Amino acid sequence: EMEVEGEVEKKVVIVLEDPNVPSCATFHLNEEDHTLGNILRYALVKNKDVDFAGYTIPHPSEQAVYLRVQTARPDITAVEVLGQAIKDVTDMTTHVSQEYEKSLAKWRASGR
Amino acid sequence: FLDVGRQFFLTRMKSQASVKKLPANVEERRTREFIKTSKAEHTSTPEHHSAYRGLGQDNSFNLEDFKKNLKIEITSLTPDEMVFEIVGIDAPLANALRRVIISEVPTLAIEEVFFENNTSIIQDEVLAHRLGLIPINADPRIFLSRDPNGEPRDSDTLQFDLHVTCERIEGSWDKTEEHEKYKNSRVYSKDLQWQPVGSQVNGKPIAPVHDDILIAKLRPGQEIKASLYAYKGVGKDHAKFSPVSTAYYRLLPEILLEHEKFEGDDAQKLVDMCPMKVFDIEDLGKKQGVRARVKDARSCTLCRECIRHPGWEEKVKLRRVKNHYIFYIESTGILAPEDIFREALKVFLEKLEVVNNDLK
Repeated sequence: EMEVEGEVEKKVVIVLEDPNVPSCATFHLNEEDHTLGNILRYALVKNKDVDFAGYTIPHPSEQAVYLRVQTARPDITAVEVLGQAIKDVTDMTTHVSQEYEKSLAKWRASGR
Repeated sequence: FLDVGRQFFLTRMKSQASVKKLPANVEERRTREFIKTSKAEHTSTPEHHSAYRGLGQDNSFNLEDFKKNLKIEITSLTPDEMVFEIVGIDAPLANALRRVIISEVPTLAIEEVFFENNTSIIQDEVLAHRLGLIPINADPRIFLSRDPNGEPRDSDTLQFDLHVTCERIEGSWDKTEEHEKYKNSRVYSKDLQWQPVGSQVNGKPIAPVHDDILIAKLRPGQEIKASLYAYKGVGKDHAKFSPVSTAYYRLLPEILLEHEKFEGDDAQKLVDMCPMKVFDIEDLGKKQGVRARVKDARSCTLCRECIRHPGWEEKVKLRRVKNHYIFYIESTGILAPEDIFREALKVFLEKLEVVNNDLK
């Protein structure tokens, strides 16, 4: 549950080392774990515009993931690149979902 | 200078869609885990976009190639278990889906128990704990999550009554069997009486998945009277909410034999030593004799029996295919296994959307 005494905690908190350098940032994802952390890191690392991507779980008692991103050029922001990573994972999963439904249909049609 | 060089290289690479034509040995190590007697080699898949830059190959994410390489096939499907295979994904995605199946696909389970009377020897809290673990056949997709501050409603709560009193059967003093001496000495899950509320009256009758789960034992004079309330929850909060007894995957095993080394006696030895009957004898006629072949790599449990003996490790190449996942989903009976995976995909996409919205 994310409610903290009436105040709703944000899911994503962006921590910029230097506001003038938007290409490097650490994203604090609240109420998340390896389920999202690892796959987002993987999608980031597969992005040509990303120089560095890594995630860590600061303490197992706290449900939080810190995701660090550094991009290849100063004009590409970390936020942009994370957005692309989320899109990539979403596209992959959507396609898996479509293929899964197709294979289910095939299974049912083949008379099991 | 370095940046200009990199820019040039990247432009050159844009035309290459994905990793193609890697030298055979590199491709082997990229796609297969080598299993040795005491270790597994090349277990991690190079994920970085520039992993094969030195070989002129682009390892970055390419949706078209992903779609082209993805294959899903269902191996078996029963009301209890589904076995299916996904080829063309990597560990982070497979694991994410497995984790979501286990801990984030919601289910309904008993959460609150109000005892009016409990004179049994099972403590209140122990009884309540046991009641929570009983799988309840209610479709979680048509229920809402309960508002923790609000009143329970017919859209988010299920009510059950449990009222069992144990009595002595008259004139049974000479009997020895429990069922001959006592009435209601055992409380089973079938004794949970669903009390439909509001719009639930029109819906499908709700009851525990199994009738015969033993909840408590009583003796004459003991009584349990309680009202039970079930809510929607996820495995992450309490394992009772998990829709699966378990869900797991394994990688497809691959065994390569160098045929010249497996003729005659060796062939028969190999076939006999495998506990999973992975190998078979192939008779090539009088001239070439017999040799061993791989009949069924899928049933291999990687027990390593075939490479354990001295010298055999070089002759039998035991591997795992890193991007070929064989999933097993064992349902507890609340949701059909095929629906569990569908819901898991849905929940996963929703999680991504929540992060995306907050990011914006």
